Amino acid sequence: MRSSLRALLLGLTGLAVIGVELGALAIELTERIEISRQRTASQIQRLSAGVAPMLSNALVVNDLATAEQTLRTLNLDQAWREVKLYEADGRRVILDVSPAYLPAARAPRLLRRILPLDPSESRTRIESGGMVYGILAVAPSSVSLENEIWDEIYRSATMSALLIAVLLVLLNLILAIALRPVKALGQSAARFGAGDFSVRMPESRLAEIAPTVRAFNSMATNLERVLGELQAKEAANRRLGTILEQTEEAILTVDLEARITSWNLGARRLLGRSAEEMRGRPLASLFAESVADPRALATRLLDTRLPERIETEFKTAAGAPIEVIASGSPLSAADGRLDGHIIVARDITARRRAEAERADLEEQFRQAQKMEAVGRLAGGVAHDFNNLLTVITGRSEFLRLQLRPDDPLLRHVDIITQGAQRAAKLTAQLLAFSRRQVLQPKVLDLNSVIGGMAEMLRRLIGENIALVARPAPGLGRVMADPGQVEQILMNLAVNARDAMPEGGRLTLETGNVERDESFSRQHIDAPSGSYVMLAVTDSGTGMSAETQARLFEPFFTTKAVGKGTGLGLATVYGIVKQSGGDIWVYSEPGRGSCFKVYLPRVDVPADAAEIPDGAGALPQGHETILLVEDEPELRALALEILEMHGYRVLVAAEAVEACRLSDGHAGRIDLLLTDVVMPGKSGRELAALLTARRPELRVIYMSGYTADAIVSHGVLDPEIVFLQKPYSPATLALKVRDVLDTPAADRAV
Amino acid sequence: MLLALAGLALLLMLASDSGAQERPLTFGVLNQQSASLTAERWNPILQYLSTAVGVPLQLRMGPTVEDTDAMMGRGELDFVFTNHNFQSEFDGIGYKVIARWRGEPIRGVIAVATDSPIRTLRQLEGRRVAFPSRDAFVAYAVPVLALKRAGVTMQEVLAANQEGALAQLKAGRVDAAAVNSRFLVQYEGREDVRFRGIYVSDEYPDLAVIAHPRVPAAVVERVRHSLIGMKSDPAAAPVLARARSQGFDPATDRDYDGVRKVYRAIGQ
Repeated sequence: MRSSLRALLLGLTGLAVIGVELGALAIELTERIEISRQRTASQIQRLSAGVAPMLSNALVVNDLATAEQTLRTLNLDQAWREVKLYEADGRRVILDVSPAYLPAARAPRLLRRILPLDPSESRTRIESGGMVYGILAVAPSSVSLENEIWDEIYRSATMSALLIAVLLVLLNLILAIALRPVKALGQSAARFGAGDFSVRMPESRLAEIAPTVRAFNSMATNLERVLGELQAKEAANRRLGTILEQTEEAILTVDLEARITSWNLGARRLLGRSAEEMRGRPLASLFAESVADPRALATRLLDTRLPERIETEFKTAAGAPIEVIASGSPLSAADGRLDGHIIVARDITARRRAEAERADLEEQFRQAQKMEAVGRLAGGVAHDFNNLLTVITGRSEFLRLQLRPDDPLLRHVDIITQGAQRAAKLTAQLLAFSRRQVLQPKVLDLNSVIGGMAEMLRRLIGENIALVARPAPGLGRVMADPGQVEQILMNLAVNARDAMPEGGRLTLETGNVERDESFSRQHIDAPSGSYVMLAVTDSGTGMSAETQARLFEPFFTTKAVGKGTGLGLATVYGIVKQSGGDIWVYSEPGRGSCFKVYLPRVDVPADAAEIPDGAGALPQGHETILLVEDEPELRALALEILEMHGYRVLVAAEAVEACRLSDGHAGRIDLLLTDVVMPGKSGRELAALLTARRPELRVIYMSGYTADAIVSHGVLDPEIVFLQKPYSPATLALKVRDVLDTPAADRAV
Repeated sequence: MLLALAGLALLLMLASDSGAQERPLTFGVLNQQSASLTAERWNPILQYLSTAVGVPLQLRMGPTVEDTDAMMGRGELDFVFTNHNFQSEFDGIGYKVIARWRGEPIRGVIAVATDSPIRTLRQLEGRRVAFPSRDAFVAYAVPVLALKRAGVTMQEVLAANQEGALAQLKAGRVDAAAVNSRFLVQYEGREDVRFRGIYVSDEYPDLAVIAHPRVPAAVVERVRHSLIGMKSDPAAAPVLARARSQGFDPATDRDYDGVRKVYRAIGQ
């Protein structure tokens, strides 16, 4: 309860007055009681001196009536509660005029009990001349005295109340005046306490107050300055606190016993625990289960002699480990004494993941570079191989034509031809891997492709492997070479079959995929956009990471010698990359593998299926053909084939010669049959020069692999007529005839 | 036989004496003062006499003069200190004077206040005059006789006793008061007040001690002897001093003839 100074002073004054009044009343009562006793004694004395002679007069003359009358007169005021007259021997009562009723007592019974006011009986001998005539026994009544005392108390109480009231009123007025400066001081202090630090008290003329006012104003000035500094510091602390709270790092403090005392928002975000939950817990409890000795690590973290940044693992509220880098710093109290430590921990999971991703990308890049280098190598080899195989194939055909059907040498020609064909197939695979083969893409529906190959694939993988097709509804279209897509499916199916020697399940699945930037960042050479996915999943043996790293390398195989060429997945890789897509593998040993092929999605309808031409008699011609081939054997072979089929042939080894021949030939040249890759000008450049001079000139390019001259990213330009090396004499003859027979409106260079 | 009769007579006498000693003799005192003052004065004397006489004497008196006189008239008192017995109504009882209060003869005095204009009895005509009572001798009978002889008719105020009469005079409630000369001197000395006497009577003997005729003569004689002997007995000195008395002198009925005349003159 609050009590004002005024109330306190008034209360004390009231109590003091009451105390004084009570003391005065006690003294008054004591005096009054003493006076009463003296009065009683005096009355008794007067009784002896006054009444006794009167009684004596009556008793001497034996006049009891007069004696009784005298006694009754004596006690008319009922001042005596007992008035008796005894015989001279004091034994027998002669007269008893004690009042039957005493005056009503006004005093409370309690007061009568407290105050010993009833005097004892007093006896007076009534004698005269030495003769005792009787004994008068009287006892004063205390009622009157009690009433008087009670009246005195009542009067004193009334007077005290009035006095107190008057004093309190006066004191209240005095205090109101005297305490006005104090009240003003209190109000100023209240305003000051409410935050109004600019409050100042006016100077007081009262000598008792003036020093206090000056002291208050001085205090206010100092406090305003100090509070301003404190507020600035507090604001700075709040900003710092906000920074600490909002920072990504987990910041916590521990006491000297390594128990957590505070816990910022970053710590809550990092570990999923609130400050209330963690306060008081040991620092060692933060470490993950994988940490061998949490206490030792905590001690190490708090070791101020050897401060270091420790990479370790904390555990989240769910118990999951989280990689952090943490450091500890000592905290000092205001007196410089070590008060605890602050721990700053940063989540390095993302960094670690980024590092892993970067390493993965680097590995992917390295792998891509390696694949590119291998591809270039393979392409170069294939180019030369194709030239050689063209010669072998062509010359073998020439031999076959020159031998009789029963010629025993014909068997050897067949063997040479078959070997050349296998070699050509290998070369084609190498070209496919190296993305140097020429594609003839069409708009495809992969679901249709899968549907068309399903029966063939079932036969391929065998009965102990279940084929499951999950074509996605509304699948987008892709621009790809249908034959190459079939090749992809074939190779992946064969690879899956070989991974499931004990049988299993092969799942073919398609789907529309939108790849975002994050996917692109995590996968090298994998641009974002809309793709159609073809997933080939097996439940086979799976692959190790090492195997996956070399999976698409040509001639890398885990199969037994003679079981595989090591070109199946390399071919797939080359086709996919040449088709503008990419391929990713997900596999774990013992849990199967999943190859996901992503091909760019195109928003055009699928092309109708093209029916290849059937075989027939090789056509003959008479037109003039300019043959340009830097390889002498190929040049000779082509010359023989063309002349065999009736054509007039101008032969050149390179572009300059060809131009010279063209310029020197006055007649019509109907067709330019040129190699693409040649020393000096390429076949494309040559064609451009010659068609500029001879607009009617038609062009067929020959090449063992694609080149920028006629293809864009391996895809043949639509206006280009291309002849893939190695070619057979029939293929050349048919191609030449086909071009020459094509109407001029459909041609272009 | 004679010896036996003599012995029996002696025993009867002794028995009679012892019975007389056991029955106290009553000694009445005229109400000149209050009963208590009377007792103060007389009880020591009576105790002395009882011892001296060998017969207990007990003070008896009535509340008023009339009562005491009535007791005397009924013969209830063996001895009486009074002078009312000289009134004619008590002549037939037979009390005999055996002694009188020793001292100067008493006179009746009519006193007024010192500043009173009253100088003569005549000036009391129609005035209020206080008397102790009509039974008083020098304070009533004597002054009334003087006023009667002076032809004065006044308003009689009875104050019960001399104390009251002088008290009324002192208070101014009466114009004059009649008391005996001896009491007047005592009162003035006690109350420190002075009065002026406008009348003083002739001398009269003070009150007498009288004995009832039934009291044995020997006893009466021993009482008379003891009374008269007090003034010469050293043992009685403190008693007399306390009673402010000089003792008693022998007296006879004849010493009070003047008193009888006064009573007869006013019809008492």
